[in-house]
Amino acid sequence: MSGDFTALRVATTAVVLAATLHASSAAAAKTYFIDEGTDFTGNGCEITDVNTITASLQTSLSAASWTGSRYVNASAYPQDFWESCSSVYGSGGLDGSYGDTGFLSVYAGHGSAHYIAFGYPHSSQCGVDFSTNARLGAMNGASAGFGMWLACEVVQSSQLTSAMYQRLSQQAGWQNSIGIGDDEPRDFFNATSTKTNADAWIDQMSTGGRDAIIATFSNTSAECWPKHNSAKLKANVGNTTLGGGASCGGGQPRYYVCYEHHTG
Amino acid sequence: MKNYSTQFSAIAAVFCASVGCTAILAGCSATPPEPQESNSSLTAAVAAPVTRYAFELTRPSHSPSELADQLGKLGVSLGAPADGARAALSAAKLDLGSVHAAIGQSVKASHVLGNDAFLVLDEAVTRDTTSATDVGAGPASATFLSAFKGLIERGAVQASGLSTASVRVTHVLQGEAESGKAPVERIKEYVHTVPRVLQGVEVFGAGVQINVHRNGQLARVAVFGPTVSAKLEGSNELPTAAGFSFKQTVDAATADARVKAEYPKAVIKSIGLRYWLPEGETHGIVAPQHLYLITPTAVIDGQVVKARASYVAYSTQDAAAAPTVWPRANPQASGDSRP
Repeated sequence: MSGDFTALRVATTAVVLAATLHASSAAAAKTYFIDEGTDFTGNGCEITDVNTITASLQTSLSAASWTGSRYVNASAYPQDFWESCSSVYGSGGLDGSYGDTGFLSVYAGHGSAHYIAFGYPHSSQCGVDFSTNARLGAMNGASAGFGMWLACEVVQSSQLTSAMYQRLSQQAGWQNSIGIGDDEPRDFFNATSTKTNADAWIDQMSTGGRDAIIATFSNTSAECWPKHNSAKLKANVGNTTLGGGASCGGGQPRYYVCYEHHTG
Repeated sequence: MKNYSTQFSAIAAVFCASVGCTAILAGCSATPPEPQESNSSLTAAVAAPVTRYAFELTRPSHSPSELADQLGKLGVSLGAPADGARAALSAAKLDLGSVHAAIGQSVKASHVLGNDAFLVLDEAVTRDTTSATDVGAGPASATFLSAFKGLIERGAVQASGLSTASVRVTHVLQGEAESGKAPVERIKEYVHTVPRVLQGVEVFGAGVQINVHRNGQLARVAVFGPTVSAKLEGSNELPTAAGFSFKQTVDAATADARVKAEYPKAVIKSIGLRYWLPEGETHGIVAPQHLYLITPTAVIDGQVVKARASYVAYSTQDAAAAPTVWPRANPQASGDSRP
């Protein structure tokens, strides 16, 4: 950790947050994109079938006037999250039309560190490597702000400053192998009507030994914790895209991350 | 509140209807079953059969008044006014499956239907990520003990089956980093979890959790999990008429062998003997079961992928009985039509 990070985070105030957010990011519409896999047997990407966990989330999003799409099983393509501006990220990327078009970007299925696995292959592909395939919140689309990865081990704290980086304001997931109840993503979303995303994620998703993690990204060190400590999805507080990403094919600009997780 | 309460009102809907939940099925007769003899090769008699008990577990329906009363009792721990929850909840927008409200200056209260979880937190404390102070585990434990005592005194929890001697301590950690550099972490909250125990066996997913911030203040208080119907004989909890006693005929080694045979490609974590009413179920006559966390694995695109885990529980009475599994896979799920 850099010394200036430590010094600046202590000095931050809500005024600083408001000013910096205004300068570097854009208010986002209440929009979402969801892909979910539950059928993982007999289709060519063999793992194991799993329960449905985003149907009730979509219902609650709609009830709260969020708009978007939820594609399931054969209708969910890995390429939905692949950066579409260049074949450098893999040929056939579709994020400009799908995974990077809603502020809340969700995948539910299986996974591993910085990787999400789909139940049906599309163009012979079964998954998304966040490091090599995806640049959510930047380049084409550039509308995603909150990444919710409902799969095992996707978000690792040790990779937040490397392989798991996107251009998202927040990412939430788990560091270990976990089960997820049918309505837990819904209950998390509804809790953010009063709680911060951070509190809601830790409260809802840490039970039963699950190492739930939620990370916030910022362009300056001063922005990170105030943003982490105030953003509320359903209350529409801090629903701003990170902004400032690289153009197609560009590298990562300097950024900061702050996060919390429950050791479970 | 009507719709919310309706969510709770399915008591007994799953009673004796859960496929593979032998404990619940056994409870239908309300008669203690005889130890089962089976020709199954999976059956193994324990050397000295242990007497076990099946208890009635419920996730009861709560009236708005009951919700306010319980959240109010918890909120007092964090300095919220005792009647703060009542007014706040009456004004709160009710969501399907949960209710959330601000019941004090920075105190937020929630009830989540799935596991009947009541939770209050002080946002001014949980969102303190800058405090340099860390009181340490000892003072944090003292704060936890004081808060736990207060919960019992206010009737927010019953003392029976909750022993601070069995507390488990975990942590909420916070970390930060600049791109390209390794994150640095430190403790944010000391998490004290007291499991609900019955006859020496934990009720899975039930208990009390009290988080103490590193600055020494109470951060969160939660009471969660199914309610146990029991009668007290001295300090000994015994089943009510709805429950029963039985001799355990399936030992852990037998269950271990079975789960390994049934999930050959999975990472298997033995959780141990547990009373378990799967989340979302509202009622059951539940006997201890051998509980496991199953994480299937596969290699996809050269990646070792972990499937989302499920809990699998095997009977202690019938080695051939179908296991209880949660969550249940739904490969037929569908969503929006893709253009």
